[in-house]
Amino acid sequence: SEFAIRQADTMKSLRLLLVALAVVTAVLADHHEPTHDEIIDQLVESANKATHAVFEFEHKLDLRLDPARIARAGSLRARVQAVEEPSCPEHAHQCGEDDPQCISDLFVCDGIKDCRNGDDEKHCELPTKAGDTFVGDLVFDHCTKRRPDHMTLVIESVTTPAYFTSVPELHVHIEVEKETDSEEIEASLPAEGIFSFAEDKLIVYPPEDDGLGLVGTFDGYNVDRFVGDIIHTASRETCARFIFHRKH
Amino acid sequence: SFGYLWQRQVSTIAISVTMWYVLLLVGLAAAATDPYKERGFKYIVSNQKLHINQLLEELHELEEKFEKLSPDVDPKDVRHIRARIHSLEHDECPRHQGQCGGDVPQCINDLLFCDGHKDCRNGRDEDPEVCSEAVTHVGSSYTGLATWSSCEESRPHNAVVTITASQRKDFFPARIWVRAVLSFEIDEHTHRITTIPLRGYYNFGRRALVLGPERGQKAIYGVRCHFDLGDDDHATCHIVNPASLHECGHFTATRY
Repeated sequence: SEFAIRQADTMKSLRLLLVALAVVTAVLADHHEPTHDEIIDQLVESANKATHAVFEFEHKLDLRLDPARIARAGSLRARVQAVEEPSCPEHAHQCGEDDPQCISDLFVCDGIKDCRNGDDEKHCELPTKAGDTFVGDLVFDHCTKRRPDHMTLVIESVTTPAYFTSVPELHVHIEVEKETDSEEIEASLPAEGIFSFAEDKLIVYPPEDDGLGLVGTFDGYNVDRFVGDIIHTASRETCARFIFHRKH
Repeated sequence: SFGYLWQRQVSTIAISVTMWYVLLLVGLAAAATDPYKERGFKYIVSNQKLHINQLLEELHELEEKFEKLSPDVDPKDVRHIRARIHSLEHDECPRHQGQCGGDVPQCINDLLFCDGHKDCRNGRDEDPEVCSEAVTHVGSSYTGLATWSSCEESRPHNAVVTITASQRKDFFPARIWVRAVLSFEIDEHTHRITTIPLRGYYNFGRRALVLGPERGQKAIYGVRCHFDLGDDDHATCHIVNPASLHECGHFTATRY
């Protein structure tokens, strides 16, 4: 019987051992130590999340600084300024609203700062560079010879004399196409012109002997659009209008 | 029995020693092979985590600073400003013509707006925004503080124009024919209210609601409202004499 008791005892101890082993395995399984790969994956994931947050913030900043948005706001301001009484006399340029000052048109973009805030030398990039093409859509027309629905202005070349940079000289072509029932008219008229930085104006001298010139007015902010008025150069009377857009 | 007890104790100790030995083995197996390498790895990982957290904290600070800057302008306000500039600008359209809007200005007769045919070169005369019927939805109410310049001897008080019926004829969709009532307070002490039944139409091209006296009613007042603030919810309204269109009073109306 003593043997039986000892056997039972051993069995009991073995059972205890098994239970202990089971507990140890359970505890080990519970505290599953992440492997190195998993730790690195977690690290990479949190780095990606941080990068995403940074990009999102950067996007928010970019939305505020969007140049297209600034140009749109500027165009709106230009419309208000057009409604207002002119704040400078004729042939004078307004330096800017935070520090209003009038200087002669001839001093704008001449390479020397004349405004206290330097505004006259800040916006001197020519919107009509050699090779640029603008397509104009008809608004009204009481005077042109061909009465076209569209006209195209091609800037052939630009010459800026080094000693007089405020009024670059342009050589352009005005292309006109018109289809009528009886005939198809096509014309490419070479002409000379100037760009005035002070007024943001493009002036094309009459290409033909009818005395009709083109005056293109940019709003000062949007470089892709201008209002093109056909005027009698003698009377300065506007008799036709086209809205020109840059052809990309 | 003492011998039995002793024997039992020894076997228990032996078993527990075996147990601890097994435990140690399991523990060693669980731990990585090289404890120094493991510690180095954990060191690098925790430093990287700290670095990322620091960056996030810096970002959070920047975001907080950004939040303190003035918020973006409500697009509605921009639309109102645009509309107000537009109404100040010289509108070249002659009488009975509407502006196509868009980039290339063009005027077409206001009878051609929203008739199903594109008459503007840019098609704006059939644009769903231009042809929105929201203004004349039945129950639409436009109210504002009316100031009288003639016709009525009273202090400024609220005036309300409410659309009570509207109809758009299939064969002539350029107008929406409406019935409406104009009400305003005529005595601020007794709160007596005048209600004048009106009928008229909405003109898409000019964005105008034109109302005259209802059939069989005394021709006292008419109302002309211009929805010229860029949306369907704000209008400049004039209370007029229906025959001469002489202005009696005006109010800036808001839909409510």
